[in-house]
Amino acid sequence: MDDLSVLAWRSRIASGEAAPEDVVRHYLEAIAARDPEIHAFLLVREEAREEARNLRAEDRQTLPFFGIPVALKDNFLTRGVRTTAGSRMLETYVPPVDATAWERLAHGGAVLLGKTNLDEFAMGVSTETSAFGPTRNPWDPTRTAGGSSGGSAAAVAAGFAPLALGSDTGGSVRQPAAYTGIVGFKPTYGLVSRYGLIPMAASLDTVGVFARTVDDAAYAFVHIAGSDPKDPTSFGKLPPAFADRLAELRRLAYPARAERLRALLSRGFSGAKVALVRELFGDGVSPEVRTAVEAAVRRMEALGARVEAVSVPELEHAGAVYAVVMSAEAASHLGRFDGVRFGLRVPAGDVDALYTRTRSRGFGWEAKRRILFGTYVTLSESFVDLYERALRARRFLASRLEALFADFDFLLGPATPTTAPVVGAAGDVDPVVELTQDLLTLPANLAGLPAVSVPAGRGSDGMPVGLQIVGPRYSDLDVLAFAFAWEEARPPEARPPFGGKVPGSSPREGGSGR
Amino acid sequence: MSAVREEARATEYEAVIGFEVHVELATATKLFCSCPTTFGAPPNAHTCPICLGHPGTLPLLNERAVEYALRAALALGCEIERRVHFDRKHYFYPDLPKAYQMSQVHAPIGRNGALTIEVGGRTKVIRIREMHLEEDAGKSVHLPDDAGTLIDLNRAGVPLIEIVTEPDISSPEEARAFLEELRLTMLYLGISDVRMEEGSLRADANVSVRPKGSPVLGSKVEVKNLNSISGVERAVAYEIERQVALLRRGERVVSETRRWDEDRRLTFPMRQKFGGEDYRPIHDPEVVPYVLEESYVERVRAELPELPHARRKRLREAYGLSAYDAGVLTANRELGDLFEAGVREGAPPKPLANWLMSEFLGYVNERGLSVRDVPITPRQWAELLALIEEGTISTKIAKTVFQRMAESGRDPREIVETEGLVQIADPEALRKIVERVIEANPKSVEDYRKGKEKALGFLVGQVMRETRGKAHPELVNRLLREALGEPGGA
Ligand SMILES: [Zn+2]
Repeated sequence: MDDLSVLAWRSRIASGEAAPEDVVRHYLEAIAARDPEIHAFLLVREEAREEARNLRAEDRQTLPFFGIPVALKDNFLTRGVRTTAGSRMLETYVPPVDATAWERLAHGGAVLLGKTNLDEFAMGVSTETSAFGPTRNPWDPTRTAGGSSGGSAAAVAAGFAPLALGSDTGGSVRQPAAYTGIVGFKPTYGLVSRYGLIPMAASLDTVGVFARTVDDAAYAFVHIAGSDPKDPTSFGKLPPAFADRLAELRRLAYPARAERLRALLSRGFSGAKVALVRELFGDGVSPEVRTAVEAAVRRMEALGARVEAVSVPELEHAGAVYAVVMSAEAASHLGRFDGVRFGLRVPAGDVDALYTRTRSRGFGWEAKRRILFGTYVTLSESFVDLYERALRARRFLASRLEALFADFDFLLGPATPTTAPVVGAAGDVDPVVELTQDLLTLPANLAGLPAVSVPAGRGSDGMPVGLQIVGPRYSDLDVLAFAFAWEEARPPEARPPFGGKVPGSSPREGGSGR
Repeated sequence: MSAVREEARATEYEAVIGFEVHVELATATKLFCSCPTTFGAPPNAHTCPICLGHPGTLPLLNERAVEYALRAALALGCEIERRVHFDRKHYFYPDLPKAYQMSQVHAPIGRNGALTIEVGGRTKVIRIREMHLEEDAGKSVHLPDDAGTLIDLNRAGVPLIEIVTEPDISSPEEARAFLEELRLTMLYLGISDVRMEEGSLRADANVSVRPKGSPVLGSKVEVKNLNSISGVERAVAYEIERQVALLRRGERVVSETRRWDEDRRLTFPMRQKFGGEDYRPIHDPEVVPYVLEESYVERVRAELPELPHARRKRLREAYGLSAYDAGVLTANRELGDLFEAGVREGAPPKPLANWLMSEFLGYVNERGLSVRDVPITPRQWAELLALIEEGTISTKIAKTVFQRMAESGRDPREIVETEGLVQIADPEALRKIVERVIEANPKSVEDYRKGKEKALGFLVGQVMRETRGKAHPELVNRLLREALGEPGGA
């Protein structure tokens, strides 16, 4: 099932069975064949062939990502490669620097395959606010791939790339991962440098990983994690035990050590104490999702996990808190797009008109809505009431969630209330509807907690269902280990049909394509 | 309405003045990136993705700037905010790259401080309301004939401290004294060049007037564009007069922002910025709050230099200097240091102070040098004064010796010996020269005898010339009079 996984490719490349250019060719062909229908990419790099050929052969044993093609959400800065954030505002923007997370993969020998679609400035839940049109779900192109990192999720799910990076501010990695039946991991806030990630709301943004398997996600995570002098929010001192374990895992550069990595991740279920938070498993959850997730929980229980239902009533306010903090920061970050130094400029006679015209034309409806809302909540007369209170409420919520971890190892529940909706169903996205889609994922962002969405199975509509596992801060490797245990333990019928079985795609090993 | 009439009836008015002063910190790099802060580079030479506000770049707090701000806050006697964090003040302006300015709105690093000033022999305490750290904006250059606007972002992101006073200042003289004292304090702290003409010190004055003794504050006028200390004094004086004149006529003072025109010597109303003053401040989510440990604050406090006010006092008390002398020596920190070092080497304080303030400062200023450019050591100063005191050289020769010292750095004793500058105080040796001079200048001798006292001066000068200035001047005088007899005599 992991024919197309990073670790499988690494073994093959290391042993000489496959050359990096073969791997790149395989994916470019898959993209050429099917991306016109899916629209996962905003930019596909033919140059990747040449770059793969130019990799120094002697590095193939030692570099962890030697020859691995990677897709990046188009809000990661790539030096010399156009980066749009899904907006007209940056349609022709070529950044002067690389994002640190990408730089670390590139130093590890990864090849940039392309930039993937997203909601404009990562503001949305379905890539439908992208200025360049929506991404479709590889399982069923009438449906959305989710958002805002929908392009990266669809790319991995459709077999266009073995690994992709996304950003997760309120669920933008976990939700599309759930909709497309792959693994989407959001680390503890600050563990992966945000340098070079075009911010949506800096205090909530995290760099996340999309992969087909949990060990791939863990492999990528340990190599991009760690403090970065360019991102002061990543300076935080790590708990020593965590830092040691991270370093140990990072030393497992490929090849030949896949089994060690799996062994380090594999912890099984026995003794694990799991909380089912009522508010994260509420009335809004559809029968499709509920059935699949409940089956998963029962199986874990059967395998030794101790599961208990708990309630955190304060979570009812998480959506409001999130809306205020997120939009205040988002409006603030977006001020710099004024037509003066970079990006779109709509010329005008005076500077006020320059701002007005540039911003009117450059921003889509969703960005404008958040700018207005964010501006409102920070106006001085509302400031004390809304923004300050939201910050206090956020700290309180975070402390309530942290307190749960005194008694439990993980929180468990669905990653999304429903399976992937039909494209256009959201229409003129109702902000309230949108919030309910994020409601299950955003608490982890408010509290800065690590969380993963891992496929739990499929709903009766045939679409993937994602299981969300949330742990305390710096429990990233435990969260991944738990997800790994589930991946190993889930029954065959709960396995998403990877490789060859995604409708319409024909990924086969060796890169012969269709 | 009645308030207006009451104001008009008043015969005496008093001014209430407060300041908002921006001081550019002399860190090597900007507040949130590693671009240099040096003045005068080609436009936009000192910019990078961070200070240009490129999306995805992150601010990196310059801890040196925090230390400088802390130094200033401690020197001004402020209570220190231990948790340093920044807020974003939002507004759109082409020279503000991120469309927000990083500042400390909610928790300024210093609060409730004070600065003591001296005006007309009195001291007065000006309370400091708050002092915070923020980044500067860039500069817009408007081309003539509406040909467009150019932006220079070299200054964008340079660290500033803003010092806000309580309205404790009540005259133009106090305003001047406050700014001079603040400027000097910053110089002593070594945290800024405080050059008003280069914009590293910028002051805005809030001026209002009210009937003397009234508890009610008058309408406040903010006066901007003050770019010299004397300009500040003039602008404040003008504004007080303008407001008093309005009140006397029974008119109202409009609360507004005015600009000082240094050429025309008047203030005029400024166009208000569109959109009012709501900066919608939010906590900056990208700068990790920075905790100033108690031990760190105490270390910075312990390392504070002696400040001007204390130094003036000490110079007066320890060396018996006049307030004026102590003021001059303190106003130039290096000059004061030189003075104190010279005294430690044994120089008599008062004569040394005189030499430094007249001969030395004259030399330095004439040549556009700074104190440190002149290679005379404190020990050499002490020697020079000793030579004068023991009568080896005259004050006049000492001036020559000083010139040689300043140019070469040589020891005064060596200069005196090798150049034979020792004073001739031997009457026998001088008498011969005096006779020669009388012989050679019969016309002057005649003039003197006819009562022209001036002619004596000429003859003294001739003797000095013959001895290349080494003759003891009083002795020459006496000898000449003896030789010529009384003026007006036969
Ligand atoms: Zn810079």
